[in-house]
Amino acid sequence: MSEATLDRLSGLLAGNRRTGDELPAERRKKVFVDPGGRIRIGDDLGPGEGQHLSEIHQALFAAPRG
Amino acid sequence: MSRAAGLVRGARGVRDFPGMSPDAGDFATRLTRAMRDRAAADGCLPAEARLLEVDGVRGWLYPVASAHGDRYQLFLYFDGSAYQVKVVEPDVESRADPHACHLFPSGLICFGVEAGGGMPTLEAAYAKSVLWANGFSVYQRTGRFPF
Repeated sequence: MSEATLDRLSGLLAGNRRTGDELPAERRKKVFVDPGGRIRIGDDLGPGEGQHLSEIHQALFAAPRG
Repeated sequence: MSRAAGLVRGARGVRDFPGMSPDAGDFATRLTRAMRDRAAADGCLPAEARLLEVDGVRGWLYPVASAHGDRYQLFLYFDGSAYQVKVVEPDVESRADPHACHLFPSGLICFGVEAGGGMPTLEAAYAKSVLWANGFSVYQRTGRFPF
């Protein structure tokens, strides 16, 4: 994943969080991980892709208390 | 019907049978989860993932490489209420600011979705652990966690 893709991912996550869309219905807004550990943005997937991909819940990570 | 299949089938309504003990219900529930998790792990985790039992905790150890090329070993398990992921390698417990990079002092990733920092499913925990690994690689280079 290039720096540009990281920036794109960061922007996508921020945008979805702003609208409270942490598990978006639209595929183009979804983000997945494949079994090889690669992050895949929904917009980049081909028509037949999607099986064996795990969707990322886009809520913010939390900071532990204490 | 096999014995295991019978137990799983009975799991949902086990407390409806007056002669069946609560222990049997707990066993059936655990067995159901173990079978479901095994299937989920086969489908979504890296091929190199290994099912291990460590200090009585059963879970999967798997490698992740971030986009920056950093390598991680993560351990995913169910803690009784949610799926947790612990960073096994690198040693983050003593090096990172836990608040800034979403880690408990023990090295558990604080996902923030469920109470206690876990995730509701194995797939969701795996997916978010990969996002965390990529975020941590950026954090190590910039001091800022990007996600």
